[in-house]
Amino acid sequence: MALTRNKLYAFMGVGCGVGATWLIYNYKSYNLNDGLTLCLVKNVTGIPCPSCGSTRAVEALIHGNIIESVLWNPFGLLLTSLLVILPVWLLLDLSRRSDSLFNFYFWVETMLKQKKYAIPAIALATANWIWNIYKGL
Amino acid sequence: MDAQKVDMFIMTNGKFFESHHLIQIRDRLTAMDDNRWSILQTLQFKDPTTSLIVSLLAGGFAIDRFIIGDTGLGIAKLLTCGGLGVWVIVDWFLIMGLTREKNFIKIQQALV
Repeated sequence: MALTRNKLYAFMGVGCGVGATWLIYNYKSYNLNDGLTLCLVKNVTGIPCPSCGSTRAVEALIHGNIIESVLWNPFGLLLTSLLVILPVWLLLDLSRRSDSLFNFYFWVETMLKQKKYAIPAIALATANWIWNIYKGL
Repeated sequence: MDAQKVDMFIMTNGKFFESHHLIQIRDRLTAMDDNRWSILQTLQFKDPTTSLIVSLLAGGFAIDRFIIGDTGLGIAKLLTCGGLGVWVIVDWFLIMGLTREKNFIKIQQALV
């Protein structure tokens, strides 16, 4: 049951759809800081996880506040670019019957499995997590 | 390969695979040449129970996905607070099966 092209594309499509729905749902509660928290880590331990605050970061970006967005969580920038690029690439691939996104996905995976990329990535994620705890998101 | 060796392999490594994989593995091993035994012995498989423990304790950080080698999905899970908390719970139930699938893919690649 290896990950096939269609499976990955379906997964990405559903993921982007859920992400967009989540953003629309949270659009009004922007700045109110009373958004629903689904994060298990935060709900169970009270400590924010590395990606806590990324909804607020993306919402800030939608409202045009880039600095505020980075201050909430730099993962927001990454998520926004993914949410913009992935659906377009996905549809292009589907219409052209090509699998460039699928190949790109595996290229990124093999890159990130190498220590020279994995260690900085883990270090950045951990640093972001510590910053999140410090900020008390 | 010797039936005794195949049985020994399946007895010691059976817990790493789904039961329907074992029949296929038995057939493949029986048909395999005897000098591949040493390669087979060096293979290391991921323990499904370990992934379950990791998933229960650190599923929110997607460590379970990283451990079984799904780096891309792991990053997606990490960036989305564990799929808004839903993916974490789903993975508690999926991770053991996924680990066994990964082990099966690994042994297939080694036996080609």
